[in-house]
Formats: sequence, C-alpha cells, structure tokens
Amino acid sequence: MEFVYEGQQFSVKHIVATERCSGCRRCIRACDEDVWRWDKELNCAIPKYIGECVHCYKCEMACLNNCIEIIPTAMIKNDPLLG
Amino acid sequence: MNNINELGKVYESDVLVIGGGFAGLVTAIKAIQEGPDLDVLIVEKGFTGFSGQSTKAGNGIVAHLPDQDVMESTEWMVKNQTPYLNDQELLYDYLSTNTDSVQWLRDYAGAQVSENPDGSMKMWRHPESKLAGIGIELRTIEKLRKTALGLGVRMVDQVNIFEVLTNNGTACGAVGFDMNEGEFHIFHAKAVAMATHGCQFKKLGREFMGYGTGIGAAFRAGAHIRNIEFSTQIEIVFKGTNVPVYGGYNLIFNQEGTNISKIYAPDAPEISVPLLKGMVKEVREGRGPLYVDLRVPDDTLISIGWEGMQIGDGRLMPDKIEWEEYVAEKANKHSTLEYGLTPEITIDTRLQAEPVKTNHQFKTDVEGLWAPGKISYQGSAYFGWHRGDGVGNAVQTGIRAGKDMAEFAMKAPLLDIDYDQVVKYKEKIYAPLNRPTNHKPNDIFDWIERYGFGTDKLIVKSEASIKEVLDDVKEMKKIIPELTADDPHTLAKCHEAADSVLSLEMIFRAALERKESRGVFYPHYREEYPEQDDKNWLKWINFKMGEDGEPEMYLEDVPLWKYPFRPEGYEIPEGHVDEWNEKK
Repeated sequence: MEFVYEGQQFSVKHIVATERCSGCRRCIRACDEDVWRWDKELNCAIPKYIGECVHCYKCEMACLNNCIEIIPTAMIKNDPLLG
Repeated sequence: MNNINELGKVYESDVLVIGGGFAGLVTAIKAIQEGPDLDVLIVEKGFTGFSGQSTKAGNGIVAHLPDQDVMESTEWMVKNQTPYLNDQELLYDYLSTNTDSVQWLRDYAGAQVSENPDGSMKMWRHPESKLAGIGIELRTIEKLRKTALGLGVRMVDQVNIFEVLTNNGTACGAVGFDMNEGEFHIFHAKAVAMATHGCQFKKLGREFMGYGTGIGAAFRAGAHIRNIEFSTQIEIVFKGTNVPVYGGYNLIFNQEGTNISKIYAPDAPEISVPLLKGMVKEVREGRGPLYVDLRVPDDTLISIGWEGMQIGDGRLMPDKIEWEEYVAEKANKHSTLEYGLTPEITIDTRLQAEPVKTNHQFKTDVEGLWAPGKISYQGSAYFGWHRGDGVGNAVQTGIRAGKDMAEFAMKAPLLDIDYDQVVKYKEKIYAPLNRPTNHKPNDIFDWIERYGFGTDKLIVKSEASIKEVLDDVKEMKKIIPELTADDPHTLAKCHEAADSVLSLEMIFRAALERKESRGVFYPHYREEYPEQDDKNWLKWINFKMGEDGEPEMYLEDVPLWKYPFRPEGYEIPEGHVDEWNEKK
C-alpha cells in the first residue's frame, strides 16, 4: 500500500506491506512525530499522518517484518542560497 | 462542591515530569533517588524512553580531560559562542561537573560510553575549546526508562500536555489529552518539570523536535523568557539529501576550485554569518553551485572537531553508526544528485527557540515549575552549547532540576487545583475541535517554513525583514482562532501552531530590539548593525506575560560585575561593585 506526501520543501512516499504486518506496533512506538497509527479495519499500522515524517527511518529500522520502505522523493525544493 | 473528577481522569503525584525524553527521565530518576518516598510520574506525548532528540542525535557528551582547565574552557565558551551573554557562574558550574554526569549515566543507567582498554572513559580532545568529547550509545535513553521503572517512577504515555495548572501563581499540575481517544487528563502535583524540548517550528529533518507547547504552557503559567533572539542555527547540508555535513564549514569550494571558507571566515569555529553571506554572494555572482571537498581526510576530521578521531574508533558508538549509515544509504540511494567526494551543498536554516528562563537549578520564575533539557538552553543563559552535547545538556539539567524538585516536594504541600481554571483550559484546549472553519494548522507551519527558503528573515535580518515577519505574525494570530481539527492529532497541531506563533513573535520582537550582531553557533545578525556592540548590548532581552496575556518585554544588564570574563573596556554600571575581584 502506498502513502504519499507532497510538501512544499520535502516529499516522501511510504510503501507498506500491510499484508505482512505482524502487529508489533514498533513503528508507532519508534515515531515521536505521531506518523503511525493502528488501523482497525486494515488490521495493521499505517502512516496516517505521513506529513509529519522527518525521514529518520526509525520506524523502518524497528519493523519486525521489514514491511516499511520509505522513499524520499524530494529533499530540498527551495534552495535558500538561490532564494 | 465541584468535583474535579467529573472533568477528566485525575492523576496525583508529588513530582510531575512532562516529557519522557532524556532530560525528563534523568529529572525523574534524580528526584526519586533524592526522595525515595516521593511519588514521581512522567507524562509523555509519545512513548517514554523512545522519544525526544537523543534517540538519534545523542552521539556524545562534552567533558574534560584531566589536564583541561575548567576556567580555560569557560573562557573559551564565553568568548567564542555567544560572547559575554552567558551566566558565567552557571557555565563554570556546568563545565565543572560534565565529566561527573557521564559517570552518573554509567552508574545509574549502565550507559555504554567510549572506553579505554582498562575500562576508563575514553575522551577525544577538541582542538580549540579546551574540552573533550565522550561517545555514548543512543539506546542509553531506553536504559534510563528501565532504571526509572525499577525505582518506581510511574509513566503515562501518549498524553499530550498543553497547560500548567497554578494555585496563586504556584504550579500544581497540568492538563492535556490522550493522543488516541482525545480524553481529558488532569495531573495534580507538588512540583512540575517542563522537560518538553523547545519550539522548532517546522520539521528539521531526521530528528524529533518540540513545537512550542511546553514554552507556551510555561509562559502562560508565568515563566519568563530570555535570549530568544539567539534561535537561529545554520547547517551546511548535502543538497541531494539534506543531511548535514558536520564540520563542513571549513571545506566549502566554489566552481573555480577556491576554498571560500578560508576567504569569508578563516577563523570562525563554526559556520558563521559572514561565511553564509559569502556563500550567497558566490552563488549570485555565478560561481556556484558550491561543494564540499571530502578528498582531504585530515582536514575533514579536524573539521568534525575532535583531534585524533578516526571513524570506527569508538567516538561514535555502534548503534549511532548503524543509524547514520542507514540514513546515508537510504538518502544516497534516492538522491537525484551525484554524491561522490565533491558533493553539492547548500544550507538548512533551523529556528530553535529554547528560551525558558531558569536559575542554576533550572527552576523557572514560577514557584513549583522547573524547565530541564533543551527548553531552557537559551533561557538559562549558560550558553555552553557545543556540538555533541545534547545528552550532556539533558543529564546536567535533569540532575540539577530533579534534586531541587525533590527537596521542594518533600517540604511543600499539595496545593488545591482551581476548578474554574481547569474548566477554562479544558474549553480552550478542545475549542478547535470540529470548528466550522477551513484553516488547518499546516497553513501556519508552511508559512513559517517559507522563511527558510531565503536568508533574509532567519539569518541576515534587517529592520524591514523583521517587520515583515511581525506583520505576518499579526495575520497568523487572526488565523489561530479559526484553526480546526477533527481528531486528537490535528487538535494537538492546532495548539502547536498557536504556540509556535507565540515563540515566533518573541524571537522577532527581540531581534528588532537588539541593534547589534552577536554569536556564532546560534547567531543574531542585523544587516544594519553588523558589529558586536558591547557598549550598549551587554543585556538580556526577556519577556513575561503581560496583563493582556501578550508577551511584555524587559531588558536586564548581564551582571558582568559578578563574572570573571569581561570584554575590553567594560565599565561596571553605577550602583554595582566589582564582585568578582572582591571575592578573590
């Protein structure tokens, strides 16, 4: 399942293998920015607030089943030296 | 009689610590060590022991080698960081105990630090500052959580705090809501610590940050604010990945192959405003893009700042290296730019307000309220910040605050909660929920983020650019009562946006007032007043809440008559005597 955030400076895509989620919720615990929430209907964790992602990969590293892949799609859209 | 339990879930403790990051955990552990009979409770918006900046940025502690003199390192700090605005007594005290605090972490948390073969702490000498660095593992915070639980500290996770409760001006608790269900929680305590981090506005990338609610709550409870104009931090970053090039300020080249660091800021111990202005000039005159030259390993390592350090020799602990390498591999894999040994760079400007004014025990101006950790970095005025000392700051401030809070809580009574105040705060906190308006908190965060797309508002400030921001603040303050949320996450963001604007306003009002330029690591720079003005500006700019609820500014002389290090030509103001030399 893909989740996409297009910010004005930074964009990111999370690919979550929801079918493999073991329910360990380590991603939720690892993220202090409250990106991850448990989805009762899907029965897995999803990056509900992906716009808060700080691309630290702590959730990806913590995931027991390697279900998470974070792809930064744009890092600096507005270069301050050119601003 | 009104029953407080009808308003929300009530928790009672002797000591309440808001924030379960490194500083909060140290504060709680120290408090219960000092007063084993005290009931100590931590409330955390995420998960205690897994939150805060130290989970990623905690890569070391600053300390002293046996041959390094604390008075010399104090002098270096006073003269080279934010010159002469330090509380020099606190700075000296802080530097005198930094090695002990590492030992405290080893003793009480089993922290793994860099070691010599005989088991003693291994330190790396900093070439300029007369200080040394010690490596410490990232998972120390998880060990602190275990230590705290073992000592009987209670923890309430996933509850976000937005207001401090007071009884006749003394702190006696706090209120907030559960981040999952949105239930209201009321904390009742004798002593309260605001260990929440400061205000970092928009995401900085990679690290967990605060968004100003701790500052806002402390301010509304009566805490004063100090040195908030020194909130700008600049990083050199790889343009393709936005990953900082630590130490890269020495190695910046233009397309003609000239090292421009050596032209614009040959002596600066950090990235400085003159270098930044030079970088902008080079790019505008067509000599960009700029790059760092990583082909000179010796220069690179010296720039990182620790003599004798080699990658993999223990300065960075294995779990830190594992995370850094993971981030770098991911970032490089998805970077659109060629990396190589001469990667293109730019800057990332970070606005970090950490301004809650404290005394030497990290107590605020409010009775019963302390502010350990980064929330008070500028406000405590020790100004001894140094790269690789976030954990050092957390442990030193936590130890002091925890001890002082325990002493206070062992004597103080549990003051009554003001029922009407709780009702008022509950209404305020939930007000944005399902408000029939269109403004989202990100409208505010995105607006503030755009200030960093150039250099004129956050770094090279002018009267015009400051006034432009203050005009924006007026507009933002009109939007704040219109913010709307439909779940606990967004409701929290509404309050973070409001308190971010509070910090933003104080930063720019102070910046307008300070008609000079000062400081390297967290510089305040005014285009019209590029020089440090010791004749007129050896002052602290402070704020407190006025009767109208708005920030009221007041200035205070830095009491250099009490301190050992003074600028050339300094004259003791009338009404004071030379306390330092008299003491000697």
